[in-house]
Amino acid sequence: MKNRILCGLVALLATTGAHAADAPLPAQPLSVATPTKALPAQPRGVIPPTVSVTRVTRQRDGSLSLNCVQRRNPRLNAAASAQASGAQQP
Amino acid sequence: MMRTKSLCTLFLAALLGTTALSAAADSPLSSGVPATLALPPNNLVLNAFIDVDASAKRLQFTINGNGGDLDLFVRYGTPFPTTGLSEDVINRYAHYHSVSSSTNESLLVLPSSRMPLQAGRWYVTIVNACNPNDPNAAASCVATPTASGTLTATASATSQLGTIHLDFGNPSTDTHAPCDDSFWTDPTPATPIGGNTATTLGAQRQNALSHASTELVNQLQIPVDITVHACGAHLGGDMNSAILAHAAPLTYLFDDPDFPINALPKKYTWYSITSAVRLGGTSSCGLGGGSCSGVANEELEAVFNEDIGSPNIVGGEKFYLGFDPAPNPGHTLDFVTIAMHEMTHGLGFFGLVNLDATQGPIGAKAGISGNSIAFTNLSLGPYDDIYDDYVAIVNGSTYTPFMGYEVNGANDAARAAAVVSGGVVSEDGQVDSSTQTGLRWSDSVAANSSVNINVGKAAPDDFPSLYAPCDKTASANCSPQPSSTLSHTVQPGDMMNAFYSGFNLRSMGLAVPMLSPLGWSNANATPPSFGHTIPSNWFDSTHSGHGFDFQIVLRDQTGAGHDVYLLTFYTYDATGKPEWYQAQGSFVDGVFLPDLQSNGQTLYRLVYDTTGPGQITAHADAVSGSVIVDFNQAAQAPACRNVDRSGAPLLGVMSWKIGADSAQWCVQPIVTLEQHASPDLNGHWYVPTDGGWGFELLDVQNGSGAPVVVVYVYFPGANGQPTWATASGSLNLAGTTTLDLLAVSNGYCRTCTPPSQLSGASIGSITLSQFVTNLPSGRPTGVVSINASYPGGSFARSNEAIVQLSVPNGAP
Repeated sequence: MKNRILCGLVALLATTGAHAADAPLPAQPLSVATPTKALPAQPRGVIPPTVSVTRVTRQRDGSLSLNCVQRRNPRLNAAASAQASGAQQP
Repeated sequence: MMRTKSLCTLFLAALLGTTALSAAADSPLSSGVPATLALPPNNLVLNAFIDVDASAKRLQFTINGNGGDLDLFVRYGTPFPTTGLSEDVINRYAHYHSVSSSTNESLLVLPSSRMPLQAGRWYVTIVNACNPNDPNAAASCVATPTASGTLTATASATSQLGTIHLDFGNPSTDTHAPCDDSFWTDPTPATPIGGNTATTLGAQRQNALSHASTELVNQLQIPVDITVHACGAHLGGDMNSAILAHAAPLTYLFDDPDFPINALPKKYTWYSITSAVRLGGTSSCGLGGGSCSGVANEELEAVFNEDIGSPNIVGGEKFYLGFDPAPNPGHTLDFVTIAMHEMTHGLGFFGLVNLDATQGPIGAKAGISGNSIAFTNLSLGPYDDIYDDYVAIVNGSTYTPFMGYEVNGANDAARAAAVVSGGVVSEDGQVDSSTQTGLRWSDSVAANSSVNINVGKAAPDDFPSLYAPCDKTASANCSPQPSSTLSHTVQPGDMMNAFYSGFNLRSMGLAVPMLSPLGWSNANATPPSFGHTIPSNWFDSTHSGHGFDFQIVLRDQTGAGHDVYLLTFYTYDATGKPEWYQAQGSFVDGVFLPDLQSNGQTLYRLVYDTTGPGQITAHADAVSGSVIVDFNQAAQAPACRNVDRSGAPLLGVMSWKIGADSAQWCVQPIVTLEQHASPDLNGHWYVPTDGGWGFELLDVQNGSGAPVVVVYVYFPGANGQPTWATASGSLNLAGTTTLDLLAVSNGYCRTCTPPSQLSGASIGSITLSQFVTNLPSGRPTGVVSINASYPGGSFARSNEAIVQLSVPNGAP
């Protein structure tokens, strides 16, 4: 009976590898004193210059014509406005 | 993957040493079983792994946690290294990352991902990047720096569609970009119509947008989640015309050595955030970093005109909100069609090449000026964009890439001509689209698609034409219509036709095959082919006189491919004096990744304390430095397109930072392996008993004559500063070769304009003799003497036995 228990323990250890199932995965320190995020926040996630816009126009025969065009991205104006107001702050 | 740092006993790196982690056993993960995480800041779980068999169709990694700022990295095949680790290094090793500022991260790997899901071992590394002292740290990190939670890796043998989430509840009162969520909550009673059973106007609108989203998911078989910022706005109009809706990806990004996103197949190429999220298998904040709150973690914005339906706007026409196609096409504002068309643009059906003369040259590629995409006064770029990479300029039976390799925007004019190659704009603004344009979509998936009316024709006649009108309404010459050109088809009845009214549209048509190469393909991907390098002296022809000696100094005998490379960067300081830096590291997936040294740098300069024979000591200078050399797709890089480099045998992009200066240089080898002399003495040499100085030898065949050698000697200069000098001439293999040692006298700083010609001043001589190759079992040996005098000091060695430090070409 004791042997069977031992065998069971060995099997349990074998299936759970280096750590018990409910124990945290082993942690170790990074090589640098202070962590630094892998990616800087700027400048690569940038707003596209234009947005696509569907416009409707009433034709002479009364039908409706849809035309997709592009125009300046309104978010650029919003970003510029935010930047300007930020620059004015002390 | 413990790697022997034999450099520590061999050469200059001995003076610094690299940082090592204690090796913890890799931890196996069981599919679907959460593993517990408890990570203080600045700690990591390294190389947990899950083994996947060939039946897997999805591999999902999820971190659910609290506190800290956990970041998730996944790599296939070989583990992350165990030494010299920073989060940056881990990210560069990773095939996938999720690095938001939260502690909840997720990654989805699919057979169609860039590093495709395949049988084998997938390694996971998790970093708690929380720095509570960082003023930009997330509140959860500041409040509870130690992270706790679970990691779950789940391999599944079944495919699964994702969801386009619609965010109807993130209003904005910004006058420039308003977002009115009341558009979606309008309580006005409405009669169910066309399968839309909601009974209020707001709910019908929500349902209609949801139906359009479901159509996109089903037709594209989108396997990831995308989030749409759904808005209403007062966009106005008049009795004859009005804007109905607009949409776009919220951001664009690209992969380059300073911002690595290894999940993207093409480097130095703009991707819409929607395409990037599809390829990256994570959300916007996971891919690009930053906050996951609100719109910051959304990928697409769609705005609808809430003035539609007003009596004074196009006669009071209302949106048709039925799911079924509108019963009277051409006379109905079919909301689902409009939403599908606009959101398809938001998925990346969108070229970035400039079509607006007020923004820069017509045909110019997009770069960055400030924090915006721009076409002039660029601080970064220009770059290709993934949409335009699949556009061709067709002329008769021949065609050329719309993007392609070019120097300094040389093809802007060709692109400008192509975008007006279609029919002439008529008075009513429409264009005869019965003939093909010279601007076409060249990818085979669309060309061979059954929805392409030209399928079966020979290329390029089977390439779907893109909208490229010749507008003569303003002048006698063709002008492009910046509004619609390039990002629309001309095929009648196609959803992405610039004029798409008059049809019962629920099919995305050509958009499905055209979006395929932009990241939306579900076909099994081929594992990527990474760039390769050769041991040589590498230089940028636009920064002549600077360069680096790049050598393998230790072969990984385990077969894992983790050879150790030594990079010696010979350059000039701010005053033009020769100086040099070093880095050592691995070559991973086509990139030289230097190890982190104990001083926290990857590129370091030594300052000599003592310089006597056999007594050299030194310490690392305080200047901070880093270097990456990326040999993948370098010809795509802006750094490689400032002059014609099409004749270079290989290209790489060296990204360096020293102090406050940084740059990306395009490097190529001075000597190829085929040019090596025989016997081959090319490599880096040193004196084992007198470490701290050495030289690179370029040994080049010279027909029937004696080989030509070029020597770069790295040694202590005045005031203990590292300096270098060169020598060249014919090599007398059987006897003694004495060469004049020259120091560059008009060197220039790394960010300075090169002089018209570099000059050298003799500072002494170097004598080489008694070369023995000792191959294949040993390394070449020889004898060297050096005698150098310079203002402020001298350096001399006599008849010292030298050994090749680097692995000889072809040696095991």
